[in-house]
Amino acid sequence: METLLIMLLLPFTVFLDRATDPSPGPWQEKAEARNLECVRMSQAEAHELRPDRVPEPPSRSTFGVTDALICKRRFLHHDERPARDELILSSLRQRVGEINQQAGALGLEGLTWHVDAFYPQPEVAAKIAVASRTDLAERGQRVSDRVPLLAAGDLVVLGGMPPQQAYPLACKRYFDEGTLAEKDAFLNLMILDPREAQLHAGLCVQGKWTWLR
Amino acid sequence: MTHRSLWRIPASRRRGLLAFVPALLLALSGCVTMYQPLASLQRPVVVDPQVANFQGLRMAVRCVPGEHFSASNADYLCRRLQNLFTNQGAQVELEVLEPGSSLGGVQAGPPSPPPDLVVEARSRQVHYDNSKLLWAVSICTGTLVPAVTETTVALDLAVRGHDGALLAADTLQARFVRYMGVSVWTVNSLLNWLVRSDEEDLGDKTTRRDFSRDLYGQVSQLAFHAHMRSVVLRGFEPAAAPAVPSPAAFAPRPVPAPPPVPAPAPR
Amino acid sequence: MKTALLSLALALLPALALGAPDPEVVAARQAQLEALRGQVAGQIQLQAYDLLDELVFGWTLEPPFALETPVVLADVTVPVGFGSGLSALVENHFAGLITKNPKARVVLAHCPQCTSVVVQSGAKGTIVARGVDLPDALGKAGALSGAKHALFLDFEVEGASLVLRARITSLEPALPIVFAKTLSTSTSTPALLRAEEGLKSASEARKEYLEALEGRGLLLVPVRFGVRTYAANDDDWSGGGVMATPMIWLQVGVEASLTQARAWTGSFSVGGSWMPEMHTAWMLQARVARLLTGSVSSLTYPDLYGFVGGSMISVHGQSALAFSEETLTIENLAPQLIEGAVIKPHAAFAAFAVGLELRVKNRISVIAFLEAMPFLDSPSIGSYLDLSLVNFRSFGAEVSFCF
Repeated sequence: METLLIMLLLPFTVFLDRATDPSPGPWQEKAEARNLECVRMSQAEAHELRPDRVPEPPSRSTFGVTDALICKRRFLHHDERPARDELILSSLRQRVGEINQQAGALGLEGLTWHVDAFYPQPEVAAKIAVASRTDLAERGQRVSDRVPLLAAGDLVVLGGMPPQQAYPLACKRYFDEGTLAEKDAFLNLMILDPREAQLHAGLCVQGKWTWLR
Repeated sequence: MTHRSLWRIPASRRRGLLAFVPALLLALSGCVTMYQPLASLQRPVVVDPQVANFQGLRMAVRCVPGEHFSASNADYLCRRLQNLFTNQGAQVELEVLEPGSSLGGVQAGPPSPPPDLVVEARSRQVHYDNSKLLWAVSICTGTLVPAVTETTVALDLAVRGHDGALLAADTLQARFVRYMGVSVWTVNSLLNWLVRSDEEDLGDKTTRRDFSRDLYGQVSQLAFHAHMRSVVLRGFEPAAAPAVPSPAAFAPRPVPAPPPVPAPAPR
Repeated sequence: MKTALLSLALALLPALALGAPDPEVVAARQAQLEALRGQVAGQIQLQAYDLLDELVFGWTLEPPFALETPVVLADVTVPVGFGSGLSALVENHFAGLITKNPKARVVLAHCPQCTSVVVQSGAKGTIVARGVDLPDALGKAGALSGAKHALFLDFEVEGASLVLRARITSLEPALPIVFAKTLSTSTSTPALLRAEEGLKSASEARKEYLEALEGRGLLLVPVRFGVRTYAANDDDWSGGGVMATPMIWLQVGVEASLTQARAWTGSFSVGGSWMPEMHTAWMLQARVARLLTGSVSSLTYPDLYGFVGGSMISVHGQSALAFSEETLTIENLAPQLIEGAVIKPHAAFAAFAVGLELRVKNRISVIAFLEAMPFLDSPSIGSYLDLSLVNFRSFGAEVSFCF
């Protein structure tokens, strides 16, 4: 019995030593391991980030200097929100920043920016639009919280069109109806296919529609 | 066999027997490889890799061998990716480049029209850890104390359009921790058998399954994003085939076989 | 940890593993999941408070308005998938911050119509929207309570980070955004938890945190009160065995750790034990301990250490008879009985311990250990746990105070 106990306990000496290893194992379920976002970095960087956990690298010799795997636990598991929402929201700041940078690179000066997002879930659409407006304002653009609207009849007609026709036509209607003025730019963010989790963007200026990405 | 009786055996045979003991222990030992998705691999996937997402699209898969990515492994991965995209309705060309060679145009024969999408894959080793001391302890204890090796690999993916423009890029990182020992194999097998659900099982088989599922899902999603971006940038002009396939094309197809799981050997 | 121990226990009890999952186990798992969600919500709440602190602290340095300005808190949106309870907590904390930091030059105004649904009919049609989206309609109705600006706070979970997007919109028909700020935090950085009335910058808070870490010190002085018991030898049929009396010890020493994490510690101590008429004993002891619950000792939760150690013990007096290698006979005892206390029995032996230490905040700990005495061949001492390779013959418990 004692021998059996020793046999069972011996591997646990290694497991105990690796108790903080983020990979799945006796101390970590697979689902929990998948809920971590890990980055490998140098010991110096890791010490800067977590001085309580990672000791300072020795200043003189290179002996013992190594790297560290820094893991952050996600607030929500990947499957707690619909997959597409999760993908869009998880990298919202980065995606919206890229689109706004691209729009800013067009060199349009003195415009007031309006932003709206077209996404199946209204709460996610609102998040995308807010993120874009905030980011544009932080980049020094003049941004309005007002969202241009079209009449109900326009929306019915546009709803039956494919996106490559609907967005340019809507842009023309905004300008013709006076909802958007000469000095207004209307940035639209949307998805075009239910199988994708990336944002496309188009810009409406003076009734002319341009696909950005 | 008692200690005393062992010494009655002739010295030459005794040496043979003693050499046989570690070999026997190693033979009885098992490996348990744990897979941890590090960057991007565990992200959810919207696209279903088992349906025809790229119906009629001309694609090229290029794999570039590197320092820790041999030509044979690159060829193997490329063939799996070819299988993956073929199952999704694409016509896929295969290219395995020599290290350091420039991308594009390695095929012989008459020039064919450029592919709509080119998927480039490169792999590199990010981290490797293998404690010799732990191996020594493991052998001394008859592998009751397991030896541990740890490898982190990165797969750099880039998807380009027919004109060479970069449409999408991503880096997928996976970490593999391999325990080798008879005790760890036994305990893990017991836990798999008695406690864990099939989905939560740990071991080489589930590692291959999980890694394959993650890899194929992410590659398919990335390629689909690139495809949609190329559609928008082309002004919605049709390429070789309509962007949205016919419903008949959505019939389930066989899932491709898993790619090789990196199995780091002790140095 | 619990799961792993449960897994091991189940592995050792195959009889329990027969059949389908027990409904009670499923229910327990669901309860664990709910507890985890609660924990996550708690983390998000703390992180959200931190972001609000950061926002208001920024306003105290660079106010968004030149003069004190009434602002309507128009909307607080929580991450997709979370309930509205979090938004109420956020609103309360934000109101507290604004009240206690007048330097921010933001005054909260009450405007119930701003967040209500408003219907406006005009020549172009009828619009149904929130009050803040139709400021001209609210203005005409005199419902803005003097506020000319609306504040929107939007929280979203982006991977392992919580992101706050704050914007202030001027309540005029064009709804221009006059202030916008995105703040992000990460779960890898502990919550700063600054006091509402004494906000600090992130760098100052980090400095305080580092000082707190450094203040933990690498050296501690543990004082341990302990008792050791020795197993009786039930196999001793000679009748000459003496039952070893439990010994009470007082130890003082030094404990050192390599890093602030205190994952590995080493200690050296000297101890003494005295019992009238029975013994006077001395001990030198060294221990090496490893933290089992994580890689860093906690400032808030108890830490569990496993340790191994070695001791040299010297006992003078009657208690030493129990450690004698000879079977006690009347002949052995005669000289002592005749000469009284002039010749005292003496025993010295080495002991090797393995044990566990449960420590709270590096101050108080409870210790339990087993000791083996491989070089002591006393017929009076039995065995508590015999593992063939090692025979544990003594059990001890200690309470330790660290200074």
